[in-house]
Amino acid sequence: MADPEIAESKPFDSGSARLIVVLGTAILVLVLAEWASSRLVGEPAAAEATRVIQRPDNVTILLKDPAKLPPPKAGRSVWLLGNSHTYALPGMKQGDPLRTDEEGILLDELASRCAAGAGPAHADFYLLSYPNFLPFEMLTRVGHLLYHEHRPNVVFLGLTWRNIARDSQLRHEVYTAYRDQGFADAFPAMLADPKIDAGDEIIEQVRNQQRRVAREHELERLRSDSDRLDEALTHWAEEHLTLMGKSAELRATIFRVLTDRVQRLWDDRTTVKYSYDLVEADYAFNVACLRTLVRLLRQNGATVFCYFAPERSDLPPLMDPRRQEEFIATFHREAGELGITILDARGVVPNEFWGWVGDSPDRSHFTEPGHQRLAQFLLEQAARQAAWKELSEP
Amino acid sequence: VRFNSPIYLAFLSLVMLAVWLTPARARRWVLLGASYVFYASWHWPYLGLLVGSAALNHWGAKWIVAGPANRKWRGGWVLAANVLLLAVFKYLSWMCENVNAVASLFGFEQWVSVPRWVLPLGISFYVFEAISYTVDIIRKRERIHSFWDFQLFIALFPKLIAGPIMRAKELLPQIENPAKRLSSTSFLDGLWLIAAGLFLKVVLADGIAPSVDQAFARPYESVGATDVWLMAVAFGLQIYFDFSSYSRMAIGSARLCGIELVDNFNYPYTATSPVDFWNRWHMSLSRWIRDYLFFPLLGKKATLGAMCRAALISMTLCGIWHGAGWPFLLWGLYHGVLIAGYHVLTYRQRTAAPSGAPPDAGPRAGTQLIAMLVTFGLVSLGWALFRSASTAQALGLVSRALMPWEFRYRALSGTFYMHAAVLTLAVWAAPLAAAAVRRVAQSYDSLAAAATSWVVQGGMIGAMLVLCLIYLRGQTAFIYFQF
Repeated sequence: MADPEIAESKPFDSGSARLIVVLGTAILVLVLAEWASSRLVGEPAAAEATRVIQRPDNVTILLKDPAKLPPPKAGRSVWLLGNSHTYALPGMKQGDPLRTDEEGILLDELASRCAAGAGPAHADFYLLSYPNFLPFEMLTRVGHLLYHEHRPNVVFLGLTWRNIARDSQLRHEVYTAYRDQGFADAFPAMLADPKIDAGDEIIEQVRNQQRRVAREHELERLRSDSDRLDEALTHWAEEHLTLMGKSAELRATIFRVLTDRVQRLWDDRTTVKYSYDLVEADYAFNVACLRTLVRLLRQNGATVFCYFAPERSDLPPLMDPRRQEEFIATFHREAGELGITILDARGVVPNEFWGWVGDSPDRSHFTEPGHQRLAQFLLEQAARQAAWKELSEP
Repeated sequence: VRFNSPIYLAFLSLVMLAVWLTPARARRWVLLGASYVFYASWHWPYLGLLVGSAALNHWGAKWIVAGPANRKWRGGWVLAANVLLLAVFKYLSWMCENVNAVASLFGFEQWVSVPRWVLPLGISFYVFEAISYTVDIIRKRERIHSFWDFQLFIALFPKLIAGPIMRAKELLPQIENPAKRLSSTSFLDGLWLIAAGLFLKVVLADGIAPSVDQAFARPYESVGATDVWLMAVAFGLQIYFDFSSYSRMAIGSARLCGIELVDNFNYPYTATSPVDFWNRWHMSLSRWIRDYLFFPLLGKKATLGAMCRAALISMTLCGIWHGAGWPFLLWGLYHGVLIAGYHVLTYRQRTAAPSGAPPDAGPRAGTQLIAMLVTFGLVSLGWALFRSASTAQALGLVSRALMPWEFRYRALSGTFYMHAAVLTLAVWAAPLAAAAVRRVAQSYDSLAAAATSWVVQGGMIGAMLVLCLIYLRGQTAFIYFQF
């Protein structure tokens, strides 16, 4: 990058004057930026800060941090797995941001309708969709829960084509489950069980995570005193400087502003943000993970409903759709062998129930009435399959 | 020991203050003490290795000078000791693993036990400095210096971990005859270099690193040819920002303490040939390779065959210098082939030019641009080898990048493509921007204009530091620390 060589010697180029002006300006910029950032992402207003959603005791959103796993309950439980359509709501008009962790999401609808008699009134409802549904991630989360004695009776598993056909990454929050030594040691054996029959590729991926944890331990072993001192100093700076303490929010703001601007330069269509091609290796791996996931749930006694999640029909597909029908047909064929029920909910939420995310029409989230329609659909289908019978309700 | 950490910035401030308050003659003791503390703060037992290595070379040099008749023979022993040090700490584990891999083919499992010791930070750099000093002593181009000055030459903290690789004749005179007064200009230049370096590391290199890491963690069969090119270019940008930022901060830190280090980068991605690239990339290593490997291998007759052979051997060794692993060796060999190929293509043209003929106008801008793009592509492809975790991944990625049918699909996100494209354009535009700034800076002729430029410089330093504070997340190491 450029080094402006401003320091050319001139007859009037007083070194000390330059020093004072340059340093003074740099310090002024730092002070101004600190002041502006504290205004931009300061503490939330009192009303906002105290707003905590009170859900009934039997409705739990399981956070992504595996370390915060609550103890298992003795009663019956219903699990909801899916991508962000299960836990977020769209903006109501153009420019509005996504609404996360609001009342009226699918889990709330399922629980309240069951309480009203549409399903088991005394079951516990769990949402474990964070940070989205990517099959290997969800396999990890479910494996971790099962290892810690959580046992679902009924599972609703919402699938979207782009989560199956796109990449198979394991994000950091979910990866941390492998730091749980007991789980990391037990999981390969769980997967290798002949009734689960996870492929070598999946087990190898699990082993890769174990190796990653071992590398972390090695790095921890090599940490020096100066590293520890550095951490303490950083922590102190984070507490006293908004620029550091609130850096995540500031980074998100910068990213959003920049990508919106660049995106508009790049492509002025507001309907399509990005497009993805299907990647054969990822697709095959994800489908293998999905099969393993439902086998694992079935093996542990759950009744599993896989539903193809609602789609918005007035936008072009984000993901190459050519293999979608083939995938759905294959999964339908395998349903009997896997012992699961496949539901097609793609048309359950009409286009008028979808909103906005920033400046773009939202293709992943639908409004509260949309969640109500999907909840009603799922409960009706479950009742039709007599899923609640074994829960002795209703 | 990370330059991008608050503790380093606090340490540097203290050292700088001490250096500025200390009389010139005593400054070396402040710097030597600070350098030892700096190294010991990472892993104190290896401080002995650093001091011992410097002592060995100092006494080795005295031994060589003491026996003029056996200069080469004695020098050979000292050089062998340096190579042995590097071999034991850097390559022994890798060699044992390879021996075991071969032995396992014959049914011998874990035939030799693999040592698992920690790689001493900066060993490749300080051993190369010591070797260059010893060779210069053998060639009678260097003299014996005081023990402690030589210790400081080897251990000087700004360049200790990852260079620039200094020559004794460049650094020791500065240690022995320090400037009487440290100037405000050198302070501001140092500050500018540190701010710019931090920005390059924290914002640009660490910004693209997660996407690069994620892409290279994928099975290579799952990415298309366009993706491989993206991964290679993106890693090329990451390592450039990462390493050039380290070098800037090293040069800046040294300047704050009144020491000038040599430059390490000169817009390498605008190079128009592989040879030109190496004249711009990690320049202190390139000239070491050129002077202590390439020229001795070339011999007195620079025939085409000798040039190609010297290029292949020296670049392969340059590759393996970067790390104990087959991908590094492949990367070095690949660059050797590129340079040898370049010599083959241009040999006739160069030898046909009559000596003493006036230089022609040079290639046209269009040709230059094509040469730059081709060189950028070839160098980028090499980065795919360098970054790969295994030989299979290295060869798999490169072969996919070159197969036309692998361009059918892409697996990586549009944001990643956009990110790399913006950074590539910035890297190409940087020399033009630098030239423009230089022109403006030279054209001011009044105090008001100068003051404006100072305000701009201060504003830029402030803005870069603000962004660094926002983007300083976690403790990320510099890539070259592992070499």
